[in-house]
Amino acid sequence: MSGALKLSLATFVKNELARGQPELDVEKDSLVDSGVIDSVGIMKLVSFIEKELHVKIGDEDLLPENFETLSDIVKLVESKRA
Amino acid sequence: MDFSLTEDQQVFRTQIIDFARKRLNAGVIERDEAAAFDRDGWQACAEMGLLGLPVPEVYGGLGLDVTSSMLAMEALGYGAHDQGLPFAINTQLWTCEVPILTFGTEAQKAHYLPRLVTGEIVGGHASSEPNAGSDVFSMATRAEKLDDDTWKLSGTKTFVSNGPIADVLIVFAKTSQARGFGAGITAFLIEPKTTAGVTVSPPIHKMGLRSSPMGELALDEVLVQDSQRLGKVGAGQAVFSSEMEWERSCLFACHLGAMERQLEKCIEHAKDRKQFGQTIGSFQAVSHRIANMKLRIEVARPLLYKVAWLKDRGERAVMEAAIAKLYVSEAYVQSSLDAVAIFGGYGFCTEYEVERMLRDSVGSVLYSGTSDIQRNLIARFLGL
Ligand SMILES: Cc1cc2nc3c(=O)[nH]c(=O)nc-3n(C[C@H](O)[C@H](O)[C@H](O)COP(=O)(O)OP(=O)(O)OC[C@H]3O[C@@H](n4cnc5c(N)ncnc54)[C@H](O)[C@@H]3O)c2cc1C
Repeated sequence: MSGALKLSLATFVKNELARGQPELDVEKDSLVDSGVIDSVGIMKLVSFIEKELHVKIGDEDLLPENFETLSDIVKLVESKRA
Repeated sequence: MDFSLTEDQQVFRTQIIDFARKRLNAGVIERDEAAAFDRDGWQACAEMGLLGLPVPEVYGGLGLDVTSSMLAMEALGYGAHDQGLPFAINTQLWTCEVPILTFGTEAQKAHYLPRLVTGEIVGGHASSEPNAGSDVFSMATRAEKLDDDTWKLSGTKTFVSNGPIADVLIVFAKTSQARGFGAGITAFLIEPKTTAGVTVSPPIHKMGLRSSPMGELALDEVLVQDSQRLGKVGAGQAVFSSEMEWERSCLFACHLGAMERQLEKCIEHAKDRKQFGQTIGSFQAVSHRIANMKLRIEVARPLLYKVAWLKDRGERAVMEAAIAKLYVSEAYVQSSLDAVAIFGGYGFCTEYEVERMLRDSVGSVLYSGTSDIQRNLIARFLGL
């Protein structure tokens, strides 16, 4: 379950948010520090999670620590599914 | 999507229009000239429930859904000739009350919301700075944590709507040097009238919305209790984005209402005014201008209602709100220019109230993010 979730999030981040940054390792690098998750990137990602993965992310969860790395995002989505 | 109004919505709409016509429209030209805020009108709007549209009844509000709140704003924009007052109301609703409602602790909600709703206190938000406008998250205002209980804020905010009359402002400040999303920004509730180190400038002179006071806010080593932090540390950007989604839809519904009234005024004038032995409405140049004004209103309405519909379903509407904001604001400016053209020289004269609408409309392509910023956002959502 977590593997599929991670893959779908990684694909979205790579194709939609990190275009033009081929050197970025979306599985390991900080998505916040690299600027992949910025003020618009976060809204795109959350819209994707809510629409495509059917998981509601509250405004109060939109904190940098929940989006620092791919694992943090997976953890957040899983905690909301639980 | 079904955009037909319920009976309750229709009744409320009519009530607001009647109320605005009776209570808000005297002395508009004088208030505009004097840049005077209509405090009596503000109080009357509070009594009408307009300052608490989406606020739950437990805090004294009407507890309306987004669609009903938006319709109420559209009705207010239609009925009220003084667009400064609705602007001040929208500022308080979407950039102060809703964030407190969404991110506030129970104590913060209980402390502020009932008094904001009754009109006893005035609220707003301060994010823009002299050197951080469109790039607002590059702000220089700093909040330093002194101990578990206390923060020290220093910096300057500008363009603060309601600032000169505000009792509580949501102030955004950097709490860390972090970059990227969040950029280490945190929101604080600050009471400018009673907090040491806070100075609010007199109202800034401006071309439109002159009855809505706007000021600069200077924070000189202001000590703020941690209990005044709104949302978590680092949640400032989330607070800001949530505010913008509301403001980019509901505030602009007010402008839609104003455009509807403007259209009616232009039709009346075009039917009445004669040149070359005919009413000017019989000239295609004039009637086409009016047709375009109508077209803009008809396109704007579903764009706005779609945002409300999405939000009422609990869905995000970031791009949709940007599209609606962009379209309505640019349509509002264009229709206001058209209205001046249709009125000819009279449109240039204060008495006809057409020029004021043009001046009022210009700010709409700037606040809540300029048109360029909306286009940037839409393009990013489209993968560009
Ligand atoms: C009536 C009014 C009320 C306001 N109320 C408030 C309030 O209550 N609280 C508050 O905090 N702020 C408020 N503001 C401020 C408002 O949010 C800013 O004016 C707005 O964000 C633009 O910032 P700026 O004025 O510094 O312009 P700048 O950011 O300096 O922009 C100047 C020009 O450059 C363009 N530009 C900038 N960056 C880009 C880019 N990346 N791509 C393309 N073009 C770009 C802009 O579109 C604009 O045309 C208000 C403004 C007005 C006019």
